[in-house]
Order: sequence, then C-alpha cells, then structure tokens
Amino acid sequence: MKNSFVGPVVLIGVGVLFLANNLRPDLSPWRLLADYWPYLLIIWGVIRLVEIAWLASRNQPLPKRGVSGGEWGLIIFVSLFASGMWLAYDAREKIRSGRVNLRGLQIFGESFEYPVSASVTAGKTPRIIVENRRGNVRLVGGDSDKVTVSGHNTVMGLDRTEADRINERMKLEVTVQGDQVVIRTNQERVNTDNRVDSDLEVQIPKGASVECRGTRGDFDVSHITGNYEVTSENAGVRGQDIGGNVRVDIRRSDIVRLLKVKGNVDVKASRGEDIELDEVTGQAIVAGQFTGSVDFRRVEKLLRFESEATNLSVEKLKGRARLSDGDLEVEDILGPMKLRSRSKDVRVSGFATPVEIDLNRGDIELSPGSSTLSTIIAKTSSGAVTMHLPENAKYDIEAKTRRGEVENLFGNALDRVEEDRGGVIRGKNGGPRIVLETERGTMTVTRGGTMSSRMDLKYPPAAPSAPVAPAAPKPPTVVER
Amino acid sequence: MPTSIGLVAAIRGPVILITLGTLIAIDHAGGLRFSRTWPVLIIMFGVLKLAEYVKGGQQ
Repeated sequence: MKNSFVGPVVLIGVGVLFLANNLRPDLSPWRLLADYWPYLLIIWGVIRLVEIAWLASRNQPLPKRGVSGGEWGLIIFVSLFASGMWLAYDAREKIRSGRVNLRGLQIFGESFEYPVSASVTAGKTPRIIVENRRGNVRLVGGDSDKVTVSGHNTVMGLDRTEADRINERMKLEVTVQGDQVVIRTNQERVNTDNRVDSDLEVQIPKGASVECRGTRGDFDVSHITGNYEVTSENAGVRGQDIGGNVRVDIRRSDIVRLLKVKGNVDVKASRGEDIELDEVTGQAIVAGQFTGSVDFRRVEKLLRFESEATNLSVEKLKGRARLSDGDLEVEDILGPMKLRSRSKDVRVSGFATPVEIDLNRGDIELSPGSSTLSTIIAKTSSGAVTMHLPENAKYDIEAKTRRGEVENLFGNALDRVEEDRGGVIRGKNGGPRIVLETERGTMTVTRGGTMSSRMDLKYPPAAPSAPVAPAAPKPPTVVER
Repeated sequence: MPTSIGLVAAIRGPVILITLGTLIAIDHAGGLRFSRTWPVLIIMFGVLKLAEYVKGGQQ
C-alpha cells in the first residue's frame, strides 16, 4: 500500500531497537524481538486502523483491503522467524535452568566429589595400564616399587543419594597380574547420562612402562625409564623424562608436549592444536593436522612431520623446526632435509647437508651459513627465492626465475642473464650442485652471512618446564543453576 | 466519499492482525495457549463479514 505509515514506523522501530542495543548491550535486539513480537503484530494492526480512520475522517478513498496480501506474507514471515527465536531462547532457558539433559552433558544437578585411593606393590619394572574414560591422570616415577593411587571421582547427580549410588558402582580397581598393574576407574559401569570424572595422581616405580587409555582427559607422565603410550579420543598428552619410546594415538588434542625422550616418538593425531617436542634421542614421527604451533627441537635421529599440506623430514635436528600457519623455519640441521608443502614461506638456516624443497606456493630463503655446501634443490611455483651464498664456498649454482626479476648481489663470480620475462644466475667453481627455481617471483643470490633479521634471532633451547601439576581437587560444590 | 462497507472491509485486516497479536501475546504471557484460542480469529472474521452485510443492507 502506498503512503502507508508502516514503512517509516518500522524503520524507526528498527533504529530504536539497535540504539537500545548499543546503549544497553545486555538487551539483545533479537531477544527483544523474540519476546515482544506478538505486540509488534498488535501495533501493526493499530497503525493500520489509525490510518484507515484518518483516511475516513478526511473523506479520502479507502483501500479495498486494510492489510495487503504482501503484508500478510511479511507478517507470516516475521511471525515464523520470531517464534523460532522465541522457541530457541525458551529451549536455552530450559537448558540453563536445568530442565533438560543433552546427550549425557549434564546440565543440571550438583557435582559431588569422592576421594579415591589405592596402593599395591609392583615390581621394579611393571607395566602399568590406566583405563580412565573421563578425567585427568598424572603418573610420576619414583624410587618406591609401589603403585600408589590417589585422587577423586566427581559425580554429577540430582542429589547426594543419587551421586552416592553412582559412585558406589564405579569403584577404583588396582589389580596386579604378574608384572602388570591395571588401574581402572570403571566409569563404564555407570550407564546413566550422569557425568562422572576421575582425576588421579599415581606414584609409580621409575622403571615402569605406562599405557593410558581414555576417551576424554589429559595424561601426564614423567620420570620413567619405560615406554609411554596413550590411546584416546580427546586428550592433552604431556610427558617428560621418558626412558623408552612414546606412542600417542589420539583423535583430538589441545596439546602434545614431550620433553626429554630417550627412545622414539610416534604421534598420530587426527586433529590437534599444539605440539612440542624437545630433546628426543631417537627418531620422531608425527602425523596429523595441527592447527596451533608446531615446535620441534633437538631431535637426534630422523624427524618426520606429515600433514595434509606439508611433508617434512629432517635428520639430526640440532636446532629447531617451527611451523605455523604460513611459515616454516628450520635452523641448525646436521643431516639432510626434505620438504614438500602446498603453501608455506620457508626459511632454512645453518646447514651443510643436502636440502630439497618443493613448494606450490611460498617464498624460500636459504642461509647455509657454512662454506661447505651440499646439493641444494629448491623449487617454488610462486614465490621469491633468496639464497645467501657463503663467500668462500664451492658451488655450481643455477638460479632461475621464469617470470620475475633476477638480482645478483653476490658479485662478479656469478653471471646474470635475463631471459624472456625472467632470468637466470649461473656460476661454478667446482662445488656441489645448487638448483633454485621459481615459476613466478624474484630470484636473489646474495653473499652469505647477511641473514635476514628474523634469521639472526637465535632461539636458545627452551628450558624444560616443570611438570604441570594436575588441577587441585575442587571442594564439593553445590552448583546452582 | 468512502462507504461504510468500504470502511468495514478496510478495517478487517488490521482487526484480524490485532486479534492474532493479542492471542499470541496471551499465549506468551502464560495464559491460554494459542492452540486453544485460535478459533477466535474465525469468529472475528465472521463478525466483520456480518457487519459488512448489515451495513450493506442499511444502504
């Protein structure tokens, strides 16, 4: 309908709504709409009535219909949308007030805590198996040949009687079978939706090997000479001073942190966040997607990292290899390195061993920092390549860009030729082959030693951090909801 | 000069809209559920139609 009040009034209303939201952020316009939309319909009707009364009083022709077909459509749309919002808010309210239980996620009731403890005598080198579905477990090696478990179960229940009954069913079991000690929290026996957690602190003989199985919760093992294995759906995994091998097989994880491992490290994580390895005497193989920071330091044998987009292998990493979203930095390697990646800016410094880099996209910066070189092959489809060639090195270099500038800052020992849209820098004095190639981007060869500012940063090996204590047991609390 | 019939026909939409809004507001306020009160809308519609006929008869 033309010349209607509704259009301007709606505009004013929307303006007021958002102004109110800006002045009082606690008032959400959606919330207001969800709560008051029926009044919106009433106001809408009243406006129309006033309009018609006004027209009638001035003896002007009346519209055939007070509310047009299109308007009814709009009204139905607004009603459906707003009542949907209302239902959503209502459901959230119910969840908050604790009238709903969603898929075992306990949202009502109170949490009750029960202390648990057990102690058994094991041998000097027992194999310890921990089965804890939910909760954090920390195991610390010590001189005693006893396995001592302490901690608490947290049970969510409507009242103490219910919680007592549930806690009764999930008795902590510590059994010895030969040299095998099984620590079981028996959460599986609780078949209700009630959420139960067991947080344990375990003292174990330092010769022990540990195997942890869980669904959700962190594992932290330190000071053992045996192996350390974790299998879980979702776990933070920490380990320090592990004499044997470490094997981690998890689906999700917020952190994997392994320091001072004498054996090999093998990590598989479908979706991880951060991973940190330091002082691994054996080899380290890490496979999975890590979205946070990936930090490897001092891996004495082979380090292999495999993700969807990046494939890195380095032998004898004396320094550090760090990956983040778009960068990969490798410093100080004593063995050959191979890298394939879809998209990363790569910087490699401190190497005298063969290096092979193949990128789909990204810049490459190489600073051997040593006058003895080995074969270097570095290719990128799109990105700049910079080579810091040491002054008195022996080389047989060919640095080529198909499309881009070529810069020879090394000196007259190298020839620079422009070809087509790109160019090439060549030169040899009886050294190993160095092949640098970019499809599109600037090719630069400079005198070594002049490292970029970032390469100059020397990262001292981080001091091993103190083992993280598990969270202090919470006093039994009554959670009001 | 608008006729009375025209006036009644014109206010039908707004009146129905106001009724609808009121019923839903009552529902939200915790009163009678809309699922029980919706026939009021039909009654209102009937009443307005009737008014139209009555007005038409007068002229």
